[in-house]
Amino acid sequence: MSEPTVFLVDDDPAVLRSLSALVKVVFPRVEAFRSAHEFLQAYEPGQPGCLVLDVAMPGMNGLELQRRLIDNRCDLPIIFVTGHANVQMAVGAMQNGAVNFLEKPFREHDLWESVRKAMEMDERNRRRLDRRHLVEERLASLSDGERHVLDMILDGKPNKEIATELELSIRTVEDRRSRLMRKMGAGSLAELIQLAMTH
Amino acid sequence: MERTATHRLIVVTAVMTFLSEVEELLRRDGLKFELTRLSSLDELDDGDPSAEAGDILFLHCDGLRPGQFERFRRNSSLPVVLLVDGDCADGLQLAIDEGADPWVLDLDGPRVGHLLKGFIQCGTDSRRRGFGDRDGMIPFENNYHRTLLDWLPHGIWELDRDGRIVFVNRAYANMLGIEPDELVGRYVWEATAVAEEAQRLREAYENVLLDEPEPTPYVARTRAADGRLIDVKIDWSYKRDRAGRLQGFVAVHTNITEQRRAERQARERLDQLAHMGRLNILGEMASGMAHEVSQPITAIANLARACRHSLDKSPEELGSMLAQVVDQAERASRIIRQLRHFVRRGERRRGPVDLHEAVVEVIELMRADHRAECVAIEFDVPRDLPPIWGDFIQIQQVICNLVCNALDVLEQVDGRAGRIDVSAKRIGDSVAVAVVDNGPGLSDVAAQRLFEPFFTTKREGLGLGLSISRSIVEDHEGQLDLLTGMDAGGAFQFTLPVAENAEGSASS
Repeated sequence: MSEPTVFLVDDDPAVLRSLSALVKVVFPRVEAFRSAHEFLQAYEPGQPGCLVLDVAMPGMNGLELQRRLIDNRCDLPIIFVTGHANVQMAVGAMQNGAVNFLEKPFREHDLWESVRKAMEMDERNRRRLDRRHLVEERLASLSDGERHVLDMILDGKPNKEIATELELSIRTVEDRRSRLMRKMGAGSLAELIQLAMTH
Repeated sequence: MERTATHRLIVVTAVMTFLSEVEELLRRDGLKFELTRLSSLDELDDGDPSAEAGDILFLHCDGLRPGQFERFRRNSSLPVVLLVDGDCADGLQLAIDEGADPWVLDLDGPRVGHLLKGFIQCGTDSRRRGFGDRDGMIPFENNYHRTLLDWLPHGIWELDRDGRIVFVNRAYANMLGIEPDELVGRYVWEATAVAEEAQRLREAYENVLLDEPEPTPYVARTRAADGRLIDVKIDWSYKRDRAGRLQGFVAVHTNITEQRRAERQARERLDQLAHMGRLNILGEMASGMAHEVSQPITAIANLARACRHSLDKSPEELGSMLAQVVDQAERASRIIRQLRHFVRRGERRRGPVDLHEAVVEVIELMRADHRAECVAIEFDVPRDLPPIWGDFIQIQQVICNLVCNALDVLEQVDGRAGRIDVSAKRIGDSVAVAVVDNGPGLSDVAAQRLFEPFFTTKREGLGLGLSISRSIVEDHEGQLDLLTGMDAGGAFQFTLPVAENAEGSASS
């Protein structure tokens, strides 16, 4: 897995270089792009980090890139920077999950703070995602019978009722239950429910 | 000279004050005379039996009626001097048509007394002219032409081969407010041009002597005695003897000061209008412009902040960042300078205009416009186009206006990549600049009314852009038109004449 990186996109090369210099003071890993297209071509899905994005750009603008990333189920956190802020635009961007909307020129601490928050958010997202992947893998390893039992446990049914409904012996239900608890890596019913909720 | 005889001077005039003026003039010159005043020529209908040699009739031409002089001449052979003042041209013409000798005295002219004395001397001294000798009277022929020349509304001079004035008419002298005598004998460039132009006139004169080219009108600036500047158009020609040898020059002058002033005023109005138009364009572009200026400022702020937190870095690293700060500061001031340049008012500056440079600058400016965010503005203007003669900023304004209009049209179009092409090419003695967009084009109504002032298809437009642009192009002796027959989209083209040479319009 690559190191978390701050991705910068701004069509103005001078602004891009200066932004890069400023971000590098705190976050040494920076990659800079002149356009949304350049970024989309270079970005590998799953690369950790965050995106500092100019709103007004020729070709695909910042808001369009945000929409494209959402459509691609990429939740790289975005910080928008803009020369001429417009309330409607800012609200839209924030509703779509942007971390912050900074008006140029901004204070370095605001930028760094936003990047830090975005990086944290990305890491949280990533952990949650990893966990979800794990749970999905574990769920996939369950047999159909075990899956049925799990569903009924999650519905809050006791073993006896499950046995009756599935026309199985209580013994069989108990076996399946302990097998699925082991496969899901859950030590207790509470843990099992928590894991299943992640999904 | 025999001066003891008293002469009878008969003055025919309807104007009372006029008589005392003549009397005053004559007395001042110490002439002995007996003055008779008649209010009308009709009083002499029966002739004047008592007329003697040396008597002269002064006839004021104002109010002379047809047939009056003819009737008088049938009965009398008195020598007649025609007096003119104010607007007597009709009366003078009438008298001469009816047989009056063209002895004319312009009472409004300078040195009337002197001339009057001359007439009386001619009339009374039979040895000189025989004016008084009715049988042997010799009309002073040149005087007729001289009178005609003096009475023309145009200034006339004649030069000898060396450029010295040998003759100027009254109109010319009046125009300058000096006496013809003061001009005769002087070099024309010293006598007539303002100091700054004397050298130019002299060089033009010497070139004419050298090459003897086909005469073309020359425009000179002259200063009158009272300090007024006068623009004069000189239509000149060669004066040759029968063998075709150059003798000198003759020229007719037209005072074009008023015409020039009117033209200048029209130009000033256009300049003001153009300035307004540029302010308007700038208003429409304001947010884009603000963005364009804020970019380098953002970069400077970012770099300076980064430097402040990088003081422990190597001098090379800091130096490189500071160099970028300097670059961006210069970029910001360049943009501001361009803007100020673009909205400058004041006098027109004409010179050779490099269209490549003009187009590149405009497009750089226009790409900053927020309307241009989703539009590709392309240009194809060869670097080796010949320069045109004109006002750089106004040419830019026309291009700017056409591109602005195209941006407005494209802004209203959804779902298609906007594109504007600016191209220029040489066609004969002109350069044609075309601005073409891929929008929906114009409705027939819009196409017809396009160039009318205050016609607009925009919600926030003033509707002056195109009419101002057309005035600017026409002021540059070019043409601005809507191109028709294009498949789609709007297309405008303007042509401008190629600058003739490096000196441009300074033709002589």
